[in-house]
Amino acid sequence: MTLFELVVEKKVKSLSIIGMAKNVGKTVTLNYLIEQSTKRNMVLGLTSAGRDGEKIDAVFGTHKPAIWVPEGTLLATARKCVITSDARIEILYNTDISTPLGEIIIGRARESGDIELAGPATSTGIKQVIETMKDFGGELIIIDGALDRASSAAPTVTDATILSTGAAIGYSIESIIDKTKLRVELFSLKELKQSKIRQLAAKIVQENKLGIVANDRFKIIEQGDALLSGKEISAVIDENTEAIVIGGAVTDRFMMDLINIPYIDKIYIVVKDGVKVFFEDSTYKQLKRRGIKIRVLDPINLLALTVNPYSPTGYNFDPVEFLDKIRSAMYPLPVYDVVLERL
Amino acid sequence: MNSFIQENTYKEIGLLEMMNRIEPLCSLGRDMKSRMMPFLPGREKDLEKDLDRVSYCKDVMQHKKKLAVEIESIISHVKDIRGSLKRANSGIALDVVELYEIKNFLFQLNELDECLQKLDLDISVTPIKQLETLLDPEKTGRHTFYIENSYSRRLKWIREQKKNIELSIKEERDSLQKEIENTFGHKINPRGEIVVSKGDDKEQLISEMKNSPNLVYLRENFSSVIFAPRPTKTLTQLEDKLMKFKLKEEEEEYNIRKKLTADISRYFDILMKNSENIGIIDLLFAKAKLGVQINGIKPHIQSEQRIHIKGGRHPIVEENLRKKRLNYTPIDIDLNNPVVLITGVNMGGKTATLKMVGLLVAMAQYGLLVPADSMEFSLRNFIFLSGSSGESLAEGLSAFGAEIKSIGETIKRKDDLGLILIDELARGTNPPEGIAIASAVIETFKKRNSITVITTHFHELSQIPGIVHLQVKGLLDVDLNAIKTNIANKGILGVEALNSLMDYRLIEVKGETPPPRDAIKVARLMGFDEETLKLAEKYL
Repeated sequence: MTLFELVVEKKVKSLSIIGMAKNVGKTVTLNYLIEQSTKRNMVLGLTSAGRDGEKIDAVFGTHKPAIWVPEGTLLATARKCVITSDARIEILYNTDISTPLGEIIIGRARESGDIELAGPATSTGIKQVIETMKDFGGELIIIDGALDRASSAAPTVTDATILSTGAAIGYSIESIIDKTKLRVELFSLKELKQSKIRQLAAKIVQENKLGIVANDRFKIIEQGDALLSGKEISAVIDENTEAIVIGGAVTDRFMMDLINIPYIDKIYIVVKDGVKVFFEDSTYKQLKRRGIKIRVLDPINLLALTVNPYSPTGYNFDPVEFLDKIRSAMYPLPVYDVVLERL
Repeated sequence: MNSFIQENTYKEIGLLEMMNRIEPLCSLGRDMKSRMMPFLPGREKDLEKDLDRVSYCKDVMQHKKKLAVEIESIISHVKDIRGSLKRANSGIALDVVELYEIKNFLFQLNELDECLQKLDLDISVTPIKQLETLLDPEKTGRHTFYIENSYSRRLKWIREQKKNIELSIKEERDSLQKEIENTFGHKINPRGEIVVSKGDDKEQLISEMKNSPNLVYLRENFSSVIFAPRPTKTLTQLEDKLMKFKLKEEEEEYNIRKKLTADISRYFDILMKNSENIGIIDLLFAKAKLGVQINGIKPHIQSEQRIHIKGGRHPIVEENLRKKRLNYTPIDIDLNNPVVLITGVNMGGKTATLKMVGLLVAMAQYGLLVPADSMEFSLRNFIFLSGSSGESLAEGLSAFGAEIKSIGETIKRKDDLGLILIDELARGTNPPEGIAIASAVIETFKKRNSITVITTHFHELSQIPGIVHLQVKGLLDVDLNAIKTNIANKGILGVEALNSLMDYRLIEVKGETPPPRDAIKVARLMGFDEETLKLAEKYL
């Protein structure tokens, strides 16, 4: 079964694509999905989670990170991108979601061509444009997501997520597999089921704060970011603590501070979602050995992994061997090389 | 703020809170709200008209709900196009999103006009059919906007040429791809690259590929060599041509946008007028909505210098009491004299009444419906409330200092038509001097055009001739035994007990009356330390 067939079979209506790093073939995957859905006459809707800052050439400002869209494609992108688009766009709706490049406009490509995607940065914004594009007849909505702290909302609001990885993230297949496997595990973190703790944890996450849940109450620890306060939080934990809730991003140092707390294996570590977690493989292994239970509020439905055996710095792997090794390491998660698929 | 009301008074009487509850649905209405000004004496007719409109809109919201919801729904989607209109007037070509917004605005005018036709409101919007046709040339009625081929034959021709070139490019690419595949046995991947793995058997092929005019050598590493197809001359020419046609398309679209913009700017005045009227209607309904929430009525404007309120309520005080399951007593008050004095027991609602009067008059002059059974009043040039406010300390003033300063400023406007509300005049100083100052202030305001309402515990002030003296009924009908029984039976103390025993209504007192002595009773009802109270009674 090809990747696209999998998307169709699982009845995915909204799909986010997340790249592990630059040059892991996320755009190739996106182009593949555009091509496949055009072949089947599916109405595609495209947007991005925020705007990928790395793509902008700060020095020359000339390079536009554009994507080619065929006639009939629905789009949700910032007003400025619509106005300067090479593809000719019919304006369908103004969502009034504001971004630095103007409000997010829903449009339809009437003449094919290139367009820059700069979609909403918040999860509510992404949800809203997905629904609006569905209202205008979109059958599959794809969100070009990014694995950074600013615009990581996409995977939790889409039906399914594709993770792109490749040679660009390591020098050996083993290290690439280790890094990818960690991210896959983080994306597959279990949902917190205990409804009482969940309710309280959601309140802490909503405020983007750090806090604890104990005795059916929640308490916000301090306003700063999670980077600084791992030690501070360990001071307020006792045997009654049910959960430590981290509203923002979770880092290595923070988790290492927690590892030595006496009751830590009895306490849920709750984060918003698996995109918000950033730590090293070694840290994660230590956490697992310590029996730490990490739970998320918004689970991610990881549909498949795409791999790119080529690295821009010149490190290439044999495509077939690369795919096979990653496939067996990731089993049962479906793994694809969309370039190979076509050959 | 403005000379009608100072910021302190604006907050203290609760006007700020009322204003915050006025929520227009579109930015045109919000803009209109930000420019709301009170109607001052001389503009009675304008205020009358405005209040009639608000009152009518309230009726519509209550009795023609469906229509009101429809109007609100249309207005909530209206965008402020005035910026685009001004740009249009300056001769610039509007962009497609702006054209989309103006097209939508035109459709909204139709919808709104249809609703307003069913009403008797004296503000309307004017649909502009001619402009609508220009922005919807195929008369699809769709709210979307695109520079369709039907705008110009040239545009249609350019787009057809473009399509043909794109097709030729695809054919040329396919044939180049086939040729490369046939010659070298390698396919071009989606990245547009040909990857050849290195190996002893591949050396010949790789060198052939390096020399092929059809391929460009890109890079290589230990395992593979990567090529890209070299575009043929035909392909390059076609791509050049496509680029030229894309430019032509953009140019033609620009010409069309420019023409549409010129068409729009011809309707500048009527579009601006429509924008303004939508803002007015939006604000009217927002004001009416507040009127519904507070069960407001239209106050009656009269020329006689008098404020007569029946069943007046302070919505915020009322809501706070309701939250505690306590009753609010609507107040009747007739201010038909330059100076009215309110005396009465502590916790008897004197301050609340003062603020209620201020709020209702201010609301009325801002064109709002007022929470009362009826209200007759004459327009004021200013409203002033002197009373407790935390800001005096920050300015380095004591309560007395702040009061003297603000009343001093008010005396400067003594000949103006004001509403002056003074809570516990001169209470912050020693009683003999306080009474002296208060008496003098009363004498000053007695001869003026303003209506002054003063609450006080100085019973002596009520003896000044020429003033009207109102007294809170208070705990008059309740004796101590009843209070004690009440406490014993219900086990309630504090505000709840007071609320059930207090008669908050005002009665006019003429001639000599003994001053009310209920402070100890009130303290007892509040649950104050009994031994201390007994001691206090000994001092009486």
